[in-house]
Amino acid sequence: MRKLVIILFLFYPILTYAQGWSISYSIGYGTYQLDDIKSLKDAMPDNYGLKVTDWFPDHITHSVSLGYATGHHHFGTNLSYLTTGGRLHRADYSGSYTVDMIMNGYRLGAFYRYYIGTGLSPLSLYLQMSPGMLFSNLKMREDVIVYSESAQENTKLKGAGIYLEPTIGVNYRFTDWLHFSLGGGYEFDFRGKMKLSGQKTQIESKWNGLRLYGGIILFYH
Amino acid sequence: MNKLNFILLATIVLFVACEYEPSGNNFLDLTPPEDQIAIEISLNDVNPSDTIYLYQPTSFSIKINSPKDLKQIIVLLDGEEPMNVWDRPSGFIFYPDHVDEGVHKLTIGASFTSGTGSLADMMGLEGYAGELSWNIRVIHNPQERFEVDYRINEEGFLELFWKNAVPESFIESYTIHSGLTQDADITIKNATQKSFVDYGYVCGYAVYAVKTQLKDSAVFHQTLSIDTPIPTVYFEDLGLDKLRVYWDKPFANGRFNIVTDEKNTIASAIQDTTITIPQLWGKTRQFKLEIKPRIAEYDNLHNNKTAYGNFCQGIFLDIPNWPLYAYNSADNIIYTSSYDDLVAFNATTLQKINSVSIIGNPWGLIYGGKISSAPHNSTVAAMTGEETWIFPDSRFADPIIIKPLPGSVQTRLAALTSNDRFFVVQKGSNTCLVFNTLTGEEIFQFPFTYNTIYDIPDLVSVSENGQYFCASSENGIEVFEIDGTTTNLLYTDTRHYKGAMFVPSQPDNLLLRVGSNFELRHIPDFNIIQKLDVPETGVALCNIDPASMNLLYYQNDSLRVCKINNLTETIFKIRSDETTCKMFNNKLLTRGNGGIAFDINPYVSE
Repeated sequence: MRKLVIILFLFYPILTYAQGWSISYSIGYGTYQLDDIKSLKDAMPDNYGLKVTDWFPDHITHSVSLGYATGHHHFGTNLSYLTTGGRLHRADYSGSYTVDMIMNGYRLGAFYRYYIGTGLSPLSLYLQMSPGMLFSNLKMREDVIVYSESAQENTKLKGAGIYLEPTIGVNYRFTDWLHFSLGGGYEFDFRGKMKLSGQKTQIESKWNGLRLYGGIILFYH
Repeated sequence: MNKLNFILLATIVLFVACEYEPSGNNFLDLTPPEDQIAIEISLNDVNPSDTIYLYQPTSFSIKINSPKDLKQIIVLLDGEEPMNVWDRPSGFIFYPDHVDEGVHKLTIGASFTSGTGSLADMMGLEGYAGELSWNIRVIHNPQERFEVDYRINEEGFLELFWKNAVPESFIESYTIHSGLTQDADITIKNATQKSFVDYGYVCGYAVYAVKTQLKDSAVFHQTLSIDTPIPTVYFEDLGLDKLRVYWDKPFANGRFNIVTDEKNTIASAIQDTTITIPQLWGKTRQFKLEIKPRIAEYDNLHNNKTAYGNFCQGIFLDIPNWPLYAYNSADNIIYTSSYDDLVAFNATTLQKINSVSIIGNPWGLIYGGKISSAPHNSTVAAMTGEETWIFPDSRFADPIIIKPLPGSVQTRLAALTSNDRFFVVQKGSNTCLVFNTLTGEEIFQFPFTYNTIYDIPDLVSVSENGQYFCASSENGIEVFEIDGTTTNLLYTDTRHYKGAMFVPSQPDNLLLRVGSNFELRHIPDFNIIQKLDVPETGVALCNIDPASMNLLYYQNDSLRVCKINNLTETIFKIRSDETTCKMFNNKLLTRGNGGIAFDINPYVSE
């Protein structure tokens, strides 16, 4: 009985907009342009018969945000985590040679969301604009194991840029304190030159691409 | 606030846990390499069991064969990589001067890929390696250590020998150039033959250029000069008849010719260094020793050496020209001339007593020379080219000078007599001039018929007391008796006379050389006292020694001495060519050749 009450409570339509503090988590999927990063394989020496087995595919994103909602407006700050990677590999009876590259992006920015009623309450449409800083790092790890000999070398590139992501989505108000949202946008990255040991490189960490989100928003009134 | 921290921590954990993990693998199924492969390493195609001798910068070529790909070549010297030998990838140049002399180990190492294409292969952690080593002997300064020397071999010939620091197996040939002893260069192809016998060298100077020709065309040069003494000729007087001529043994075997007087070869191609030959008195004999190679086929201009030696039997008086002699028995002095000097010698010791210069105008004594000494006192007369000087004795003071009264070797008679007269017959004259030796005045003169055409021997003579005078020639003879200033012809004939002389201290004995006889005749009857058969030719009277009363005459090839009172017994004989010598006080004296004397006393003493 209690469970039923809860389900009914959850699916009870709420027609009013939330007001108060919010915290949200979204899992998403992104496409990553990362042209400079992906072209690294062309710059890699074609030694030892290394072949690409994995190369910076589109991948899951994670986002959390803290905001304040009032009326149609919802604004705040958000943090996103983007990750992808690649591998060059060669192995035979004598050993293996692995080059793993993991590219992580940390977006820290602000967001502004505007809710538009759809007449299908509790479902509403929203438009969102998110600008902010994008911090990227590329970790390269070479592992060589030949017979009893082994060697490892790590290289790390870091970069910082700015991003702008317009998003459109729908919000479903399940209760006053619990909303579900689905959205999609496109991330535009600017600047973002990466540095190797403090030295600038020509590599830009541009994660440009589509972003799809699905998440929950908790409101605290 | 705790909630917020929890949320942040949960976010971080979420992010980290969600980091992308690259995936996939690329495994190649390859065949592992074999345990061993065949490798060939070649260094200038030298067998590794052979020792490599290095004496000059040497280029080495490395050849390596293997079914696998070559990765690296290393060159190790005594286990260390000599950085300075690399010159090009497939070889290197070895500089011996950069390495200590001695034996070293040179190792050529090579590494190869396994060829499997595995990671280990590509990373050089899999493959094959091989090495090969050679023993090398480094030799410094081989040119300077090419040494040439010489010695006498067991057979007595000059032998050049040499040694090299470079082993024989590297040597192509040796060449010996000796422009002085060999007509052509000698090339020795046998590297083990490290000597050369020069049969052409005997002594003296020679220079050799010896070359070692190596198989790699390198050449070592050495020159060797040899200068060994040319033998000196010595003499040993073995007595009256024998003379030993000997000389130093030359450095190497030789053969010898002995030539006298430049043309008379008395020994030819002898190998001994001594020879005994007959004496020959009366001249300073020059001996030429010709030294030649023992083997005649090696004769050439430079191989032939010459040594000279002079020997004079008897005593050399060292007087020039053609001295004439006179003997004073009262003082036992022999007078002779030396250029313009009238010289007195002790007739026993032959030591010079005194001399006086008689310089004429323009001739002097040098162009005169006829000398006479009185039989009864110390008077001596010397005829220059212009005048005659008569000295009372050998002090040569207060002379009586008769001029003009020249004399020469051609003057037929110049004799002082015991009656203080000086008898002179000039060449071509039929007149005998008689002077007073005390005043120099001419006392008288008298003619005779037979004047001779010969200067030697004496054909005109006067007895010591001035009583008898004889003038003989090839046409006849006249014997006069002189009484005061008158002459009386005692005897005459027309036989062919070859000499006539009165016997000293025996004025009535006249010795004649006529026909094939010596005749000793008594004057005034001209009866024969003694007679000696001698050959028709080759015999000449010399003189009768007033001191010993021995007759000296020449016959064939020798001078002979006999007692005047026993012509048949030769008491002394000496080999000589001198037909014109005299004998005083038993001293033989030559007219020429520097005045050579020989004392026969040791041979005629009774």
